[in-house]
Amino acid sequence: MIRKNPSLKKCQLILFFLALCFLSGCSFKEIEKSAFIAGIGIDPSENSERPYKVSLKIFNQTGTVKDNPEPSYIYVSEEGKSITDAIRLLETKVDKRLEFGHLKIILLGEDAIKELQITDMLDFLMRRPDIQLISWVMVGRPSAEKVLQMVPETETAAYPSLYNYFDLNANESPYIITTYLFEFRRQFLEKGVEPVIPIIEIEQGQFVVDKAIVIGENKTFLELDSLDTKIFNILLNRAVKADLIVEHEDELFMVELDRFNMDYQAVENADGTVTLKITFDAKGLITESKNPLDVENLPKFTEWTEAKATEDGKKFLSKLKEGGFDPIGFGLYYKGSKLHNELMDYDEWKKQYKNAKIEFNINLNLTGTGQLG
Amino acid sequence: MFNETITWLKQQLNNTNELTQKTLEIEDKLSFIYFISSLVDIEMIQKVLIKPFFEMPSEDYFEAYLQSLPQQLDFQTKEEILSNLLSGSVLVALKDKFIILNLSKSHVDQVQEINIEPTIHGSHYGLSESLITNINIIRNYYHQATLTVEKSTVGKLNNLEYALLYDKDKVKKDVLKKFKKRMKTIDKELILSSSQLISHINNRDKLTSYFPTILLTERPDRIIYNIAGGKIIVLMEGSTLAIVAPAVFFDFMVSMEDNYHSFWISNFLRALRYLGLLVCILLPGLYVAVTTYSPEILRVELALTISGSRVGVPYPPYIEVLFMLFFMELLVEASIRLPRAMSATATTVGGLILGTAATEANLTSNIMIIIISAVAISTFVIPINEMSFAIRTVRLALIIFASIFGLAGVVLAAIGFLMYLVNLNSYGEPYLRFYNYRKKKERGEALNE
Repeated sequence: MIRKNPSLKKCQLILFFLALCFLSGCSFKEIEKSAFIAGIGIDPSENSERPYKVSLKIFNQTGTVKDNPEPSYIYVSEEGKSITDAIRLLETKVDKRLEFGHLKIILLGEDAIKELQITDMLDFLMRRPDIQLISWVMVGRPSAEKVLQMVPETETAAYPSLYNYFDLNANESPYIITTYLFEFRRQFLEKGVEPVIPIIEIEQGQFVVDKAIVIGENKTFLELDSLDTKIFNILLNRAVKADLIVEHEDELFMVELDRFNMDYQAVENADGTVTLKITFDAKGLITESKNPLDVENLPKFTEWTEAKATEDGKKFLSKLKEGGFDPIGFGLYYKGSKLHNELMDYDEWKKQYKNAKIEFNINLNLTGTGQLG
Repeated sequence: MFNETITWLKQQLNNTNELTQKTLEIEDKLSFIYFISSLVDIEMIQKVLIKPFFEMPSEDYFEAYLQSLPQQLDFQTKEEILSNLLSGSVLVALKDKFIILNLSKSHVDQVQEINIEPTIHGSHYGLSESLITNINIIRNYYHQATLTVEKSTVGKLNNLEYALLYDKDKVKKDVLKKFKKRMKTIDKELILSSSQLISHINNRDKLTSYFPTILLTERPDRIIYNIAGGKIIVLMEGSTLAIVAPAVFFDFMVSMEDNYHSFWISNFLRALRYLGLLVCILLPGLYVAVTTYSPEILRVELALTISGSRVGVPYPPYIEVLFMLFFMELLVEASIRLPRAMSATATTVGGLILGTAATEANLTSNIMIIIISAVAISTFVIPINEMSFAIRTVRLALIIFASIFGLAGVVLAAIGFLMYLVNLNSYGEPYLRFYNYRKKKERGEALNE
């Protein structure tokens, strides 16, 4: 055995590390050589050979925010056999490396969810390691590309205005539903709960985000109008604040709910039918009224509000139930609350769900008639 | 024998014509005194030796008087006589006997102002260059009969005196034994200062002494704090810095002011210091890793700002960081070497002008300047200099790992660094253990059982 000179060994070690310095592998990319993607849009194309039309919105950062304070983007789109295929083609259209790490907006065209396979799209979005699962999934109307390319006047550089609707920092409107990618996938694949994703529309150079769509099984869809979207948001305790308009005879007043909590149950009755029980606790304040209100009548107002809320809630639930849509997750609750041998099979459950009875209990606590007393 | 010794001494000191011989003679009394005039206190000789000689009735009286003087030293060999003469003693030859009196004069017993570890509160004066004065200072601060002082010399050529100070009750016996053994193994001709002594104490394990395991301090309060904590202090003649051993990592992060502030404030300052430590180790490496491998960690705005500010910068981030760090280290080094009046100029020219110009010329990004400044500032937060020197070099390793392996490299290098620290020990004390002297006693008792 040849004994190695210790200083030779040291030299080798140093040379090894020096050599490593030059081995800047494939992932060594300087940050300014990456093109950060703000959003991806998926639409169906007219070419049946290449059904996916993928659009990208890329931050065009050629200097500091101070140098160019206006938002500036590059839009590219390409058709492909699959999404990855389209992305590969798109890479040739941009001089920098496409960096999906900051992608937050996943826009699915309205036609895309109806015509294309959602599972294929999900597969791409989930598999790609650099797409974060906390991206927001939304539906673009009329198409994903159009919504993606819209830059409203309020938009600032380096932060797309669509982010503000969903990041829970800026906009807290009860009409906005936020669905993350991981949530979307989970609810899409899980039996017994269905994903709800917001619909983004364009109106006079601004986004309108007040509707949502429930994606049911077997390509069934239920569009929620703005009132339904709000009720859904309140029921699932996703909204921070919510208003309710109460009309009773002459009186018309607005109740602002600022703390609420919903508890839901799906109970199988002895005869095999199903009852959906919802208990809704809320605390609120009357914020606006047509006529002067007397504090002493507060129990009466509470009663009216409860009646109105129950009516709205029941209407919403029956709409869901009759269409066979279950975005709240009664089916999941049912599955989770029974032992597997006592469980009715899924088709039976679907049938029972459609005919289920609804029990809607509401406990409202009105704390006052507003600052005016 | 008597004359022999004198002749030998004269021979030894032949080359220096400094050996002074005085003959004291009156009536039947006769005595010779020998000394090196530049080392002794002439006034003291006059007062202690010459005046009494002429006042005493006989030689016997004088001898008895000399033997009772507190400055009188014992000796065995003629070599000892020589070394005592060389350190400022006076040799008195009376009848056929030698008596040695230590009448040395030192011009270095002035207490120095603290300039390495300044604090707002607390003492502003440190140690002096005289060993006796320093022991005096410490004895004055720490009134315990258990405080032990052991004197010895080091350096074959210059025989520099040093003192080992420790509290007999509090010190760990095996640590003391180990330390003394280590001190004995020092085989050097010339030892000039305590900083040099440290490097010789550590000489045996060069690789493991990358991080300081011995603390150097000039603050008497820190010395007292450490004596009370059961540590060993080494004071050296001619050095204003004291050696504290064993020293673990956390000792280097203690500022003496921590004890002078109220609870929350001192905890806040401590937290700040550890944060600063993390920043100065990790920040450059993280910058490299994040900008080249994983920009998705940043917020969108920050990613775009960094990306925008790097537009036009010719070199990849790791070169950029190394380049700026290099200039920063130069700046730090330059401001240490320069006289105080000039170091402000160096900082201004280097820091402000160079920094601005480098960004204007697009050699580095603005974010880089911020990071380098943050790193530079946080390095100075570490209270003990040796530690900040060590930390300064550690981050270079982290940059290298970050540029090769990205974030995973930073994490792995940090873990490796931690493992190295865990592996380290200072005279048997684990390097990363809190050295709590209140609990120390209980621990000691438990060990003895």
